[in-house]
Amino acid sequence: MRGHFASRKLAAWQADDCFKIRNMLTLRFDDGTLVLEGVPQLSADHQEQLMEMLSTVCVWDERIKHYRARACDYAAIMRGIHGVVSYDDQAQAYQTLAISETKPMPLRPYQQASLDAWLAAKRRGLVVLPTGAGKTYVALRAILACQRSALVVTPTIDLVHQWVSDLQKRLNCPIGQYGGGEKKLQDITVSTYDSAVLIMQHYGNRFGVLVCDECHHLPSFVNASMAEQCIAPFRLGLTATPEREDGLETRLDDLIGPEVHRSQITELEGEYLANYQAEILEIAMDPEEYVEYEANRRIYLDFVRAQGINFSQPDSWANFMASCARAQGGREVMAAYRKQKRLARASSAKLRVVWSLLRDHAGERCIIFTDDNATAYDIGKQMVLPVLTHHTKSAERKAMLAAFRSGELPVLVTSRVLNEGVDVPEASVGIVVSGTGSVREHVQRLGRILRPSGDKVAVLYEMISAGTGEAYTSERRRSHIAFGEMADFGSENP
Amino acid sequence: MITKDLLRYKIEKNAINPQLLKSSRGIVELAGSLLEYWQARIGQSRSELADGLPQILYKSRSLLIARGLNKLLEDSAEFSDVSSLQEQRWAALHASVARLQAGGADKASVHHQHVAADIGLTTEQLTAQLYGDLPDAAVLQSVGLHDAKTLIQRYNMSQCQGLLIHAESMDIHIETVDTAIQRQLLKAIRFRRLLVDHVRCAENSLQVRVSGPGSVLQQAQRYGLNLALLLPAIASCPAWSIRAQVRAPRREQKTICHLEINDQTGITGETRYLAYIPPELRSLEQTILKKEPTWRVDHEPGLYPLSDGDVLVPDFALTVNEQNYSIELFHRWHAAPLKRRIQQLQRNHIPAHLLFGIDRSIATHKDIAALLESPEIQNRYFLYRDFPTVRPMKALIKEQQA
Repeated sequence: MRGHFASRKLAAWQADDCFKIRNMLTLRFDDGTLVLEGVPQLSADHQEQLMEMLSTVCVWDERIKHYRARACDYAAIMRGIHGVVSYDDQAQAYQTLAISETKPMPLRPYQQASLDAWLAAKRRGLVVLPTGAGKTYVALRAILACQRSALVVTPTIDLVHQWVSDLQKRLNCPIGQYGGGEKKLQDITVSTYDSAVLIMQHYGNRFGVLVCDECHHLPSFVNASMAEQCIAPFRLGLTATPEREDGLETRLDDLIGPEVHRSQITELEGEYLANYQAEILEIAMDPEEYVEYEANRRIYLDFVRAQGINFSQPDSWANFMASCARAQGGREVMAAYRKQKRLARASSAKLRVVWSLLRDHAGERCIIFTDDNATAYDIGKQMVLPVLTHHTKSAERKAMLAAFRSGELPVLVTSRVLNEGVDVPEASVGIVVSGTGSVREHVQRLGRILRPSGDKVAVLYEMISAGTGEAYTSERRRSHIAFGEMADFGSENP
Repeated sequence: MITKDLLRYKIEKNAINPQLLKSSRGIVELAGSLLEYWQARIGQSRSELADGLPQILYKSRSLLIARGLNKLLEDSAEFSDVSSLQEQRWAALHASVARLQAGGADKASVHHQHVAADIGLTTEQLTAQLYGDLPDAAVLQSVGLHDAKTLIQRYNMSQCQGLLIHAESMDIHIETVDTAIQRQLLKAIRFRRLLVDHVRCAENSLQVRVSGPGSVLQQAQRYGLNLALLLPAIASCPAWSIRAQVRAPRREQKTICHLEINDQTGITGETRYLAYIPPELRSLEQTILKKEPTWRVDHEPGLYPLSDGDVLVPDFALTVNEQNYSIELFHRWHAAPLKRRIQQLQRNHIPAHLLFGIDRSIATHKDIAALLESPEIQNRYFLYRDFPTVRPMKALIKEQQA
């Protein structure tokens, strides 16, 4: 919503009689945006200063003959007009609070450093800490430092429940929840990104602090509109993995603020995070399965070459699907593609190793990660294990997580729903049966088992079917300092 | 209904135009092949159905159109209920944990056999039951659309409805001398619980302005859906047009565009939508007849023209002891219309048999609570939560008849 400013527009603004002429600027929240009304009579210097601010953050709305700005530019506007013109701020509807912690805890050095850096950056910015390092507590102290109504947004309803429960324990005020069947707004409210998007055009002026958990989700088109429609001058983004494969993380600077602090897993391992080992298990397929794999892969690759499909090009997957649908024998190619993929993801040899690992780690909490639901349910059925996917109904999902935490069900199989955020501190063994090439996914999966608990040493096993494309996928996802590599986010290769 | 990602529209000079399908050979063939595919899979599971779909969808020149048509077929389809197997699943999982904690068998297959035996099942039964209640296990029982022409018509209607969900406001204009159609359309608007800004009834036309979902704070999506569901009723009128202000979906900027559609656009309504009676009203009627067998319920009471040109449209009428009562309901979205109605009633003569039902959630608003004290209305309303029940209505009627 950035636009250029022309002095004749300011003149028109001042001359237009569609609003009251007075020596004061009025700032109003309107449907997720800010409207600037009024005719400030200014000295030449101040007029220039005002023009500069308007040209940076406002656009002229011809329909109402006023300037309009994104709600998220509220702080910039206030900085621009404070001390320059008289103004009436009718936009701000958030409260000044007097809340405190029920049982204050000392911050760990890196948490203190994060908070200090955020406060120094005008209370806007991104804190990058590994999973399990206590990001929630940094956010809580940031909210306490601001003492303004706050909205915490998270990507999933599980995380909303987790935040609400945590804040209820630690703060002496009611905690609201918006989303997941609840619609209760309080001075401190927790919501999902999806629900916050829906309410922001109405309630975007009700919060002075915006905390975006797992904020690598924020730059997507819809979620970004949520942050844009909120006036909160104080903004904190939390994530372990800000980088995105589409490169949109650069938008975080505008929506939240600059990165103000980053601690790596390797810096905190041992003292604040569990010690861990990451082991790669390269597993040879059974000979007959390998022959089948090779035969099917050849059919698939021959077809891809013959059709001239290049998977590094955009829309290549849609091209492949369309070619399979239209070409003679395409149905068989699709079947061959699926077969070789399934064999690489979950060969009989891999599943034997999974079983053996479960027996080796009997008594420990294990999470088995797969790339797809079908493999997760195959493992669940063969080994009689609980499977948690997006198909699992909410009540059973809660029951499964509670049973896992208590040890009643010490093993969970999941495809992607436990990749992020959900707090399972007791988990100490992760078995990645299959996954994508995403560094973020792999780091987040490691994060599930890193929360410190006693003197645990966490182990992440990563299985690769030898002689298949999985070796390349594994290499890409391990391009992170946590696995001894520097980050390099490449594109997905099916 | 079609989802946002499947909408096809163009914006030209701030006018938003849905991209409707013509019954060209290619489109009819695509619709036909999708119909044939779905109908051939009656009796198969959702996962079996999903397996072959990409072959048809990707064959189409426009994946977006194919996915849209497929979505409408899916919406029209009925699948079997899958009963929960949670209890059996947890019994098996507990048995499995116990075995694993005792060291577990050498092979997963042996472990599986042991667990099955522990809970009195065969291995096949255990495999079938453990996750046999996933949505994919549901079996396709019937498909609600039967020919390509109807599917294409439904698609075109859905494209327009998909835009109306994002409307800021909608002006409806009907040219007809048939007062029954006017009354039915006004009833349809009421039954969809929409916010009417104004109504102008003339001898040969009807004009109604309805607010969009942006005007309501609660359940805005449901409101938008109700607004969109009105379109088939409007389109079944003889000469109609609507003009709506629409927020263009999927656009980064909140662009407000004009949508104009009319009886020449090429969408077909169905008269059954004009006769729509909400299930909750039907259920209320049944309860009334059960609890008060001497009462009579009428779904089509007369309209009440008000002196400022507006029209009052009761939701239903009751006959009790040969006395007729027309009842207008104000649901949780209707705080502003209720205020306006009370103010209108203060200026108009109100027929004695006109009564009001008001949702408690709006009756407690400070300004409305004060207005409800006014003599014009204070003894003529009852309160309800979500939808009226017989008891408060009976108490009010008893009071009226005393």
